[in-house]
Amino acid sequence: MEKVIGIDLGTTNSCVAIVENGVPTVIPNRGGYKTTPSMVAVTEAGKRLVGHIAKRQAITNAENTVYAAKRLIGRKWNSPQVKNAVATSSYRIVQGPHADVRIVLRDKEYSVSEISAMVLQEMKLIAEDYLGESVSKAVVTVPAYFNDNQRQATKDAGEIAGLDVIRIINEPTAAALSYGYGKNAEKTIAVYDFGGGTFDISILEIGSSGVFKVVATAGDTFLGGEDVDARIIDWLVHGFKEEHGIDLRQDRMALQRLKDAAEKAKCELSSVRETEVNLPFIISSGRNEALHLQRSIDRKTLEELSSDLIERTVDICRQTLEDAHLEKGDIEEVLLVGGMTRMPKIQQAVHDFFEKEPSKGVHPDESVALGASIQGAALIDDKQEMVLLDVTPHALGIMTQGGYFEELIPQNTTVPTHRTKIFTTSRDNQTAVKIVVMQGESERAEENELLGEFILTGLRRAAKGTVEIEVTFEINADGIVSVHAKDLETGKEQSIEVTASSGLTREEIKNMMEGAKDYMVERRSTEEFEAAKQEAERIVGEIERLFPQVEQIVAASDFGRDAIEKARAIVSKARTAIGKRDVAAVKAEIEGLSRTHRMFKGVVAKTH
Amino acid sequence: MQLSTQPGAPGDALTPEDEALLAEEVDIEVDLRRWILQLYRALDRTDHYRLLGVERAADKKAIKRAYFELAAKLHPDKYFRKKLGSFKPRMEAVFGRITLAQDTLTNADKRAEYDAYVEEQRRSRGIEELLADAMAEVKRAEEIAEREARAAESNPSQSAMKAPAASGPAEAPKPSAVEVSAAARRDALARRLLGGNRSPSRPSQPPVRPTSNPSTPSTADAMDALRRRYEDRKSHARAAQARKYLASGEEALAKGDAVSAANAFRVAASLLPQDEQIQKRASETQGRADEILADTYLKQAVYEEKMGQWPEASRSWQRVCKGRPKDARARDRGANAIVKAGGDLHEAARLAQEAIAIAPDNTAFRVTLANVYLAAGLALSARRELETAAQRAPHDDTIQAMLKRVAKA
Repeated sequence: MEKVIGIDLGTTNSCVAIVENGVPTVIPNRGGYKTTPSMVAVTEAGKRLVGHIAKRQAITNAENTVYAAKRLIGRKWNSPQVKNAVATSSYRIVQGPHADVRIVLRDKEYSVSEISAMVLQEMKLIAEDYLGESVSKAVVTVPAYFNDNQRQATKDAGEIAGLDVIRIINEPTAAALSYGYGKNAEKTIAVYDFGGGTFDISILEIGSSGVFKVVATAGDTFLGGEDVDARIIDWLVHGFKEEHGIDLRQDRMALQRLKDAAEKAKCELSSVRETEVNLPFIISSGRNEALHLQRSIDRKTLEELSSDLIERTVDICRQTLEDAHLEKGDIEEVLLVGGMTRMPKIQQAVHDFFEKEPSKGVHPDESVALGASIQGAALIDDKQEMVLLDVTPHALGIMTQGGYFEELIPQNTTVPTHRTKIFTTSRDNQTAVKIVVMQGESERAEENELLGEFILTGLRRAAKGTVEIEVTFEINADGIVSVHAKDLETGKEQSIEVTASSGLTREEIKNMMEGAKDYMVERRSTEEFEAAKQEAERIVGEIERLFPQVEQIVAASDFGRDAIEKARAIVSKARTAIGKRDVAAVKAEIEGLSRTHRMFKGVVAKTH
Repeated sequence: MQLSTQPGAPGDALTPEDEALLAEEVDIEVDLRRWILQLYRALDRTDHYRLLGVERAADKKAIKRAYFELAAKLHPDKYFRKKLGSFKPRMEAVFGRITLAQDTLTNADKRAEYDAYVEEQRRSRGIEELLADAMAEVKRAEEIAEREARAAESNPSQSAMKAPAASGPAEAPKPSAVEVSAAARRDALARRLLGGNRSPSRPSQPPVRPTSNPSTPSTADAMDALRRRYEDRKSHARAAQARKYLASGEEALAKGDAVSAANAFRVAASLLPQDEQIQKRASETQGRADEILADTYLKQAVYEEKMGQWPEASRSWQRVCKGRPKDARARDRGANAIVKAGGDLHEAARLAQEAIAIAPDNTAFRVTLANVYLAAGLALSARRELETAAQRAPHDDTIQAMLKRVAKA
């Protein structure tokens, strides 16, 4: 049976897991870390860096290091969130050809899906290294409140990375799966998921017979730890300006250092009451004198800076319970997921709202990936007794005359589901009807997300109002929306699958896939070369260490001089091959080098 | 697998079409295929309780458990990337219904509403069955009258010699087994409707045969006389039958059972079509029965509207209108429901126009009519209606907003 990995593609960190012999396990990366920063950079030499290595060089290469790309994925160029990101990011964000968003790294434009694909590819590599075999299937998580365009863009990212994303699932749901897996408990739980970029709240019922039913879900896709960091940065920048009259925001490198320091201070304040932000030589003054930023921040200040953000999450919780017709008392367990839930003030707020001690049963950074791997195993393996009944997080509907939104499938409807609506023609002899499918909660169509539009054609020619078309909107278990139209009189039918748009065309995705594949080949061969080079250089080093001794011993004989000559030739050939970065040649020389090394060792050993 | 004992599995045998579907090549075990087909077939006529296989008194936990058990078997993810063919839409339809059933029955308010709705459905169905039975009753009463008249004809003094032991009683109206059970069902229904006891609306004793003295015949005259006498006897017999139905109608009315009374009067009226008194009495009671029926349909319509079941709601509203000829609101709601359901827009327009005719000052009714016109693509008529409404209610935002929309279109 084919293996399926679960990937938590986070705003700040990503994590990969797999179910092995029925046990969900997080796979550590080469550095031994269980999470990998979702950061991508391109060096001056044009080399791509992903993960910890990208994070480490972020300060010196701020303009070419992408962080929090997830906040941009599947969004339109003119959305307020993108405008906000353009203003505050240290990397360049530009408009793409389809009113989408592109990121510029070393003068090359990348789509957001492509950037996310680089992170996914890294996670795939981590899993392949660990498993010792190639992996092609994955379940990837997204914030519950993502709309279909954002989900599609995430799927596209998987495709670019060479992964068959067999299912996209919601992060809080995944956390619940990892909590309830194998427990066979009957419980109603709430998952409070406050991550780097997004906030989600989900209510689930865990039933016997391995069923997980999402009852309600809500959230804010632009509310996360990054916003808390931004508050700290604001506070530091403001303080610095008061003291020195200089705006640190003008300097990209200073901004990147501030960002790092803010995140660090925030994390530290979860365990200590006070910490110091110390950034020497942050900027130079007008008189060419170096200025330093040194300021202590205590927990209380951080809590004040972020109190309205925390309040917003509590409001969303309250609204969600109300919508689900549930009382606080109905919630039997509260799970905390996402790095932000380490903050004591947040734990307190959750405790105060639900009037319950939050569960320590799940790991805030790892449970989402674990849950994704569980869902992957359940889909592929018939023996797994687990079914996830998920809901559609946004209402689905159509645009009606005058720019109104008519809801057809309400928010929080368990999928698969379908609804039927009858359309009539509004003009005589009308042969086509345009149907605009949208997603969202606003009455005004323009405030909702456009999923797709299509035209029902080939209608009978008849007086207006007499042609009746029954249109069925369906959301299947994969979350894919399809529309089926039927002329009630003639029985003629048409079916269309509404594909949400990531802002990329098929052609573009194909090209990006090729690019990603090339990168993989290159990266694999680079790795192969580096390994061979290391091995060759190690042996060369050993040989060179032995040269003086061997020369002394054998220089007298012709045979000895000949052997030394040969040894020098091999070493020189190996050096040339390394210089040419020729993997095959280097590998070919390794055997000769080893033989020479063994012979040298033998000569030296015999003499002593 | 013990699928036949699964909750919600009706024990019905498969129809020939289903048997054919069973042969489809899909990645589902044959027992499960059979079960899915049975469930799917039962969707239209089963209630939430039977579908989930739980008792009427089942608590939340039991309902959830039953739902989870079914969902674990029916969710398409159980057959991820497998061949499901025509079973896929069926499974999804069944899954949708069990989910609706669960959502409804695990919410105290929704469940109470649903229970009341099912009760109203049962009531209206019972009333309609009773009313439908009245037609059969009329036929039966006429047959009895005829039989009696004929029996009197062939059974005067001379027939005493033949006196076939079986023939006499056999001629008497004897309810067959089917009739008995139908009558019992009617009585049971009537009892439930009344919440108390009710005497059968049908005369319980065999009608008494009218006695007659045969006179001596003389060919043509005799034939004529014979026929007249037969007609005479027949009308006597009919009158006797009618009296019995009248009596039982009055009795039912006294007990507050307008539906049974309407039935009985209807039978009496059809037996004696020339009796104006009886006709009047019958139509009055029929009106009351229709009102009762309209009441239960009104309750159903309100629930169906709330649940977004527009085709059902439009049918229910139309029935309300039938029983309440002066109810403008019912017509307005009916028109609205037909539009929402995508039903017959001519009928919707007719209802909306009637509503306006009854209450010309209600601008909301005009808005409904405008909506009907819009649905039919008649923007000009819609605008005319909205303008009239705007004249009567110049500050109504809905009307103004709609006028703007119409202007744009």
